[in-house]
Amino acid sequence: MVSRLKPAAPAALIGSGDVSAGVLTSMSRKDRFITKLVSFLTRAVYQDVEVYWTGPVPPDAPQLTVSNHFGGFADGLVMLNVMPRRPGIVARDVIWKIPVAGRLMNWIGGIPVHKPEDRGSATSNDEMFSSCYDALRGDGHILIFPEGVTRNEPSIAPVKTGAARIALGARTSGVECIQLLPVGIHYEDKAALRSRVFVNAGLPLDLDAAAEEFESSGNSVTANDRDAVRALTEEINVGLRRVAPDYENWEEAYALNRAAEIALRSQLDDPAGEVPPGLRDRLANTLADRPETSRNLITQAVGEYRQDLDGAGFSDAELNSALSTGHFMRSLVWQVVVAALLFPFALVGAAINFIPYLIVKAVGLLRVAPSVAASIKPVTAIAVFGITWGVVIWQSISNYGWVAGVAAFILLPVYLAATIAFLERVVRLWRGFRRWRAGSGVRAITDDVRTRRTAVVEAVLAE
Amino acid sequence: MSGVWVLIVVALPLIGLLVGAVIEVARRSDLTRLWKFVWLGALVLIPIFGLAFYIVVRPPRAEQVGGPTDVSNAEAIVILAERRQHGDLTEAEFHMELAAITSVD
Repeated sequence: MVSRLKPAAPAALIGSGDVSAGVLTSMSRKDRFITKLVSFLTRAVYQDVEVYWTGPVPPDAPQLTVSNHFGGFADGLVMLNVMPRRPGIVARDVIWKIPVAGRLMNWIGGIPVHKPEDRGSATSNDEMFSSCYDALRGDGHILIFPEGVTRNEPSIAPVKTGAARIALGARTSGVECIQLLPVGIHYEDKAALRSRVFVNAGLPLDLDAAAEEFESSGNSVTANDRDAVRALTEEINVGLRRVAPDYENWEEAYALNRAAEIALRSQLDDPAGEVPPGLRDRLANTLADRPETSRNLITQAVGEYRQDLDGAGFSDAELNSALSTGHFMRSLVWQVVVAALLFPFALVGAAINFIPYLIVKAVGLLRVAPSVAASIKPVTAIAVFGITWGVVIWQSISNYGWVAGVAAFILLPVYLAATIAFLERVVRLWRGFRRWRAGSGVRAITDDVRTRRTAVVEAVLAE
Repeated sequence: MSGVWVLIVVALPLIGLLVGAVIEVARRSDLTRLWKFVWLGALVLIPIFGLAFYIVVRPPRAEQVGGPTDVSNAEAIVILAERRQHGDLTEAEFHMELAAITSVD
């Protein structure tokens, strides 16, 4: 399939969390506050948000970002956190019917879209189109999930024509240089709190350049031009599938991600290091585009290797990067020192946040689709932790005065961060211990297992 | 709460944050001398309120690792695979470049 989206430029930018200008940024007070709030919430909900920019995005041009929609509310939160310019999110109008959510969407500049299947919805989207044109006209930024629905499958749903119609309509109304940016959101486990997220931003498509090609074939390019809308939608479809997870089924998604991880682990500068999720997801994405025979070969090789590993009782990380005693001891001392420094703050954080944590855990037990869980868990967490902290601040003011209340406002996030850091350090220590203990067992592993591993690496790299 | 406990879990992090804020204000290039003076005055004279206010209004510090990152073997392989996916490299070119990076061909 031919696309105008050019190959990835090697000079890529990798960020973590807030990706914006290089130094302290200048933006409006409202934008600054929203950025800060979203950044804090994202850090609380996710362990890590890694961002990969395939190439530069013009900072001042009108921008229409299209993204996959696997995580419901979480997608909006993640995108608000990673995008250098805060986008106006185009979302279903049913959200505006929820009292607090509606106000929140208005506050962050959301744009409601009406769908015929939503009862009580308006019949026309003229207002939505006009709001999008206005936003783009002011060199603004809007975000659309062009699949139109949240997905529980590891693949992109058929891309609808809305994004293309908005882009072409805005161009017809006089907006120039619109950049269409495809962005893929990859969740390690979208239903879990404190999981990791990788955001893969592709190369922007210059709408004017694309429209010129449509015009050269004799078509007038407007939002009503079916051929142009169809062609642009296909461009968006191709761009999105390159950056977002798009697998045949869950089995293939698992196999290709494991295969990518195994192949990359052999190539890390530090063999004891962890494969960065972003690299793994990007390689797995390219494997998903390979011919079916190659994908089947990789899936089979991973299956056989996994069977052998399960029999031996090791993970690939343990087999490939067992820690030496010296390495483990150095790591142990360092982790214990840091954990000891964190402990008093972590203890206070645990005492304050234990009940809201239990409530969020209980919500996690509800049997709902993963995309629904990806929405309700962060929302519940934000609500219960917010209420708890409000009570603590109010109690501090009541008992000790305003200074204590303000100190609580400053320190509550510090205590929560300390608790999370402490617990994650303990988990890391346990994993390190397992890898060190695996050392003697790994040496006894037969050559057959290693041959199976080599088969996976070769299937990924040579196929 | 005992005095020592309050000192450790309340005063220590507040002092740490306060010192961090003072250093940041002193280093900020987007503030005029007058504004630096105002902020430093607020942080020193009304430390708790000044710190809370500064935390709320300070612009976010970007965490971007600017410019090209060091390309490891793993990163180089992923970039090669993406170039093949996008049609920028033929199968033969992919394997030739891959062989230069790894021993697998």
